[in-house]
Amino acid sequence: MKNKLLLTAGLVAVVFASCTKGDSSVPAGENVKVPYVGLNANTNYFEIFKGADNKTSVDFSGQTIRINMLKEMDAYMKTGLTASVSAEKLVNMFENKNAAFNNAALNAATDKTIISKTAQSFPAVDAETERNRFKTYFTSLAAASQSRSQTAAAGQAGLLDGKYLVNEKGFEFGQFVQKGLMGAMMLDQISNIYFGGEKQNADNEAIVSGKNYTQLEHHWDEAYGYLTSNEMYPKKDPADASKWLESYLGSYVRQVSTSVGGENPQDIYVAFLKGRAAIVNKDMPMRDQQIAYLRANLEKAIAIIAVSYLNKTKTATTDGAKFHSLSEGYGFVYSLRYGYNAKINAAKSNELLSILDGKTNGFWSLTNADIDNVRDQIAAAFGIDKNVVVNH
Amino acid sequence: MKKTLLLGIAGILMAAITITACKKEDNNNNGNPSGGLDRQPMLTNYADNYILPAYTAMVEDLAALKTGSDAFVAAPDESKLIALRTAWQKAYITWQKVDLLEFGPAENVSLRMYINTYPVTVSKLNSNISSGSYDLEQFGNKDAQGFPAIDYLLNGLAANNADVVNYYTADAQAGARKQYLQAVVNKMLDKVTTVRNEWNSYRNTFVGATGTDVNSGISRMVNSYVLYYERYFRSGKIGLPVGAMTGTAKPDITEAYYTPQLANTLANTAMQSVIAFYEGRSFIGAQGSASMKSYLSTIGTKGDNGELMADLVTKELNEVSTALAAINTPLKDAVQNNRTAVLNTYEQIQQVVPLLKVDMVSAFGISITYVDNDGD
Repeated sequence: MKNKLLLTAGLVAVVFASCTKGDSSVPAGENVKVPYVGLNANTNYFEIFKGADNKTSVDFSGQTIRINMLKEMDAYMKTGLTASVSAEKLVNMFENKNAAFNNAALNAATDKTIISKTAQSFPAVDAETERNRFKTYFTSLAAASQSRSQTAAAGQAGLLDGKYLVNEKGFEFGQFVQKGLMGAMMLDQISNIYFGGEKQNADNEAIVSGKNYTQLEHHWDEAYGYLTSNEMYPKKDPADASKWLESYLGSYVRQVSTSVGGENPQDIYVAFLKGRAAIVNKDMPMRDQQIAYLRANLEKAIAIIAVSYLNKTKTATTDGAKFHSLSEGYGFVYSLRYGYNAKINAAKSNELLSILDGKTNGFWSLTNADIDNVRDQIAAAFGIDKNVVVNH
Repeated sequence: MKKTLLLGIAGILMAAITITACKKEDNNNNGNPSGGLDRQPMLTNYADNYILPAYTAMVEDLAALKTGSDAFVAAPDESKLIALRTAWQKAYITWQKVDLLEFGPAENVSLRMYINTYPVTVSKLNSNISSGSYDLEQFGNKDAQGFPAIDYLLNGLAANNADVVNYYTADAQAGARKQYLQAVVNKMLDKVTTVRNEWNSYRNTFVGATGTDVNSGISRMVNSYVLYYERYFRSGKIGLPVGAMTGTAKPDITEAYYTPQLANTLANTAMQSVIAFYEGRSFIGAQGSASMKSYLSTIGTKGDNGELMADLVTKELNEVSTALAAINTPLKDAVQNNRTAVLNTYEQIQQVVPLLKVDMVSAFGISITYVDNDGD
């Protein structure tokens, strides 16, 4: 009887051992608090990490608040199709002042703003340049909304396909803002701020007063909170299996996979789990592996999406779809500068953007050769297929 | 003893669960319900017997168009105008057999956009001619070039031949207009030649991509085919001009607007190409071997009434073909004066869309990748 039990236990142990990838820095069999082998795509992020009180030690409400602020901004920018948009109101939303949001909880979160988390890792002067860039987009969007009753054409702001508001150069500023902040806020916060030295050197011994987590644990969760607000990633809508519940950066990283030269979102998720477990386990080499993996692959995901949108620009079937794709792609090309040690840094990113926006009539004056020029440089920098198209 | 057994089973179960849990998630690759069916012969048949000959024919027809336009420009007269029109019509008809191939090299140069964006924007075309400064590569000029621009330049300037020729001889803009005509023709020939040349090397990539992922040969080809059928055939040639969604005909957006009867020929040729391509026929129409149809037939998907989906598609496509051929007044008139027939034809075209886009695509284990507007 005893023998058989042992045999069974042995079998289980062998199976466990065979599925570790061999990248664990903790010797097999060591008694860690959160075993890495148990972490997988179905693990619940909230439930697996618990404090001494046996309640979840995960909290990233501040990130969710900022994402919700961006959602309201987005919704407001879209009203430009049928009404005049105020640049001042957009600035108020950006800076969370003058009760700009419909959701009172957002107005009440007075210590939370998008602007302070925009290009935060950049030197102050450069950060200001980037913040002003977004404010210029607000002004341009407001100006374009005055022409909403026109059909857009080269030299004429207005609507394309009745549903995209563009300026006289075909620029859809709502997309510049939305896609741009995925880099300037979300990617920058994850890869440069929260995975950066300052946040990662935080204390990992003491429990924060009144909480059930260490400061370091909390920082990791705040990084996760910029990818998703959910207890797992990616998450399907329980009410509609065809839908997913991420927004912004998380929703685009989800669309990337190994079949397009990136990583599967489930593996991105497991890396977040492993990194958090490593912090609980005080296993810094393991944490650092996850940081390196996530930094590289979140940046690469944005590159793949940028290339995909540039390719979609070439195949779009209407002017509206074409410039919409291009405006999205433009936002992602901009966002590339926020990778950690970015392969396409700010100077290079600006150079690529000027190829796209620098002609007399803006997008209307572009050729396939211009698109290919930008696309091929990004593809080469990341070693990805220049023809890649992601099914959005 | 019994207990031990149970424990043992529990252990094995646990091990099994662990194995399942550590298996790498593979959600992004579609399952391959058609595993075991070799896709390579099908891809080979399409590449060698249809696609490559199609581009070769297109290059030949455009080279003939260039010969005709060069001759006309050198010394414009009515007989050269008529010869040029004939070359233009022949090339335009051939294009209807090529248009459904917008993937790979064609997609990479946005071929369709340069060749056949209609309606032509006459004001833009004329402003290009009078300014003399234009770059036909620019996105903003897509509706001032291609077959539709030539249609206007040869058929839309005046009602009779002598007056048309006059625009190339006596008119103040005659010189600039001749230049523009040649620039448009050269651009088309240039684009198609590029695509034909690229296909020489892309052929092996295409035939070798035998999987079912988004970059596989079958995924690219079928997506291009279904997109073409839905958007360029159904909506472009019929749905939008007849105003199937709006109730208002827009005759001025029919294909070949300045050569009314030709629009019907173009649509009928396009429909024959849709059928021929589905059946894997060669470019010149010879009986095909491995095709979308034979592949679908081997998979064995059946319709609601038990009929093979592969046969149902053929049957319904043939019904479309018959209905379309029965419209015997120019489409630009029919969309106004014979709306019932055109709308019924549209309805029949539409009925095939879900068969292709849902039934066939899911049987093949691929997915539709061409959503333009992602709703954000």
